[in-house]
Amino acid sequence: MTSNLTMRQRKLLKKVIMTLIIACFTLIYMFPMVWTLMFSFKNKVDSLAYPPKFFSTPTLQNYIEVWTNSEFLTYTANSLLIAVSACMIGMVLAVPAAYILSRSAYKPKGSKYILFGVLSTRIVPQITFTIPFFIFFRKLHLIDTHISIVIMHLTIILGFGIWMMRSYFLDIPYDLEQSALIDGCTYFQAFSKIVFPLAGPGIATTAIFSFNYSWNEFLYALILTGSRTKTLPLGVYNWVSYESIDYGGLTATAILALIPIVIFYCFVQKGLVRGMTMGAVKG
Amino acid sequence: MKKNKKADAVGLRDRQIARFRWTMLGPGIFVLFLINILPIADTIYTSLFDYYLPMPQDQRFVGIGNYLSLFTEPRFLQSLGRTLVFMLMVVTTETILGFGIALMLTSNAFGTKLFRGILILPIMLTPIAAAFMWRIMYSPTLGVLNYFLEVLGIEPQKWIYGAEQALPSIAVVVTWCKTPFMVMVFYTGLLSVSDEIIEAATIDGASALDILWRIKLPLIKPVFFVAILFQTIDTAKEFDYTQILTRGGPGSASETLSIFTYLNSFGFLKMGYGSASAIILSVFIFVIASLIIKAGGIDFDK
Repeated sequence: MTSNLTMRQRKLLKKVIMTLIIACFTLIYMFPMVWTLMFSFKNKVDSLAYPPKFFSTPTLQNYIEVWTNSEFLTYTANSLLIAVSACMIGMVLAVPAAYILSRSAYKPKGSKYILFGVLSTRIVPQITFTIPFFIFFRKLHLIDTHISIVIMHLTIILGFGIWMMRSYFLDIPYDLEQSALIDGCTYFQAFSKIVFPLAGPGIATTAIFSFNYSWNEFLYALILTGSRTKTLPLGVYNWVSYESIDYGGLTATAILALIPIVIFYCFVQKGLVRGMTMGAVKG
Repeated sequence: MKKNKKADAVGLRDRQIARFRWTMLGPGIFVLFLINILPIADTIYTSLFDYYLPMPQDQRFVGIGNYLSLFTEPRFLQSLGRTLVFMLMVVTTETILGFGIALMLTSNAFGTKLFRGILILPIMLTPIAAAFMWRIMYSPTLGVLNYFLEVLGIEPQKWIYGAEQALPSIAVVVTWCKTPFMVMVFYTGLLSVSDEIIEAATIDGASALDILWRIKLPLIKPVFFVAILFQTIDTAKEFDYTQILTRGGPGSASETLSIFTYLNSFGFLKMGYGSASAIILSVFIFVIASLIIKAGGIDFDK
């Protein structure tokens, strides 16, 4: 039968089959995500049913519980405060530094070693930073303060920011600044008026990645936060007690925490791969 | 006279550049040194001491003693081996799966953009939430995975609660969460292979498999290695998922090096011992990362 089909029809058939395969695969792959979403709309009885209930009357009970839970709001506020501060401080320090490191005219001698130091922040596991900082913050009684966690998050964000921004600055041709300098701009003006605006999208992408990192960070928060500074990832823990896990509240919190990240990812779609590979792959 | 003036001007320019350089670069590098380099040095320093946190006065210098006792402790050696096995399991699966998905998404099927948008969601999920979700699914009594097995007539499994299954079960979760990263990177790489090359090859009579092996793969080799590099680093460091899913258990069946380090420093409060272990983990990752950078000819400085 198929031999009677024209070239075009055969091509279309192939396309449809391929689409079906991808659709099936996506469905299977995304099952855990769908399951999470379903759990967040289940009532307490249904979430503990066995065999598991695939269809139950949806309820907003879990979301209402999360929202009316004053702790959840505190965690969100903590997460926001920490992520925004870490991200801002990180960018203020990283952007100018990255600019210098991207221009051979300004680079100091031995910038190779600086770059190696920057890259090593991505390689060294977080646990290595945790020990000295924990001892240090404990001595200064800074455990369970926002500032200590902001500093910890900076250990990742700063290096990442410098590396990423450098890759963006390298894409901006030096000729532009040079002509501005000849026209009488100071070095600083050439940076702030010419290069900075051009680097806008890169700065946005880097900032969003930094925010995302801080928002989801777990290890530092686990070790350094207490009742006053718990962040959202630790807030998820609140639904877990020794006797049982409140699956509804837990999944609803997870879904709510996902929202800002999804929105951000929509914004940086173009810089996504670049951000994930520290500028090594330009999408 | 004229020459002197010129030299003065150059000197002035140099001074201006130097001032500009250090006002811009100084603060960033200073903070980086303070919060990144110094702590690493401090961890190395601490690793030379026998330091039990509640009793700082009993601190005593032991040289490389901590390292020596680590390398004679079977539990440490096992966790080191487990980290390597875990890394290999996760990165291999992710690479194969990620490349497969990327190929599907670059085929001419309908709605590939939509599928791509959906398939990327797992990386955005807070690792903690994803790990808890899988814990629910892995539950031996209430979990949906064992329910599926039951429907298929297969014996229920212990998953993360079984000594032999714990590590692979964690690997499944990490793979699930991180494969989208591989997909995105490979996808970008595959899109950069120009249609003309492929068309030319097709005209020359190359089969689809030839095009994949002889043209697409070699062309995206650098991208391939970058993806593998980052995933390898992250998997070797991996802490969040393991901590939520098993805490290294049952017993120490899924205890990787980062969990071992965490347990020794913040569980047993043996800061010196923990520091030594952290340094070994760092060196371990450094060595593997450099090998991958060399093998793939990755050039970050471009």
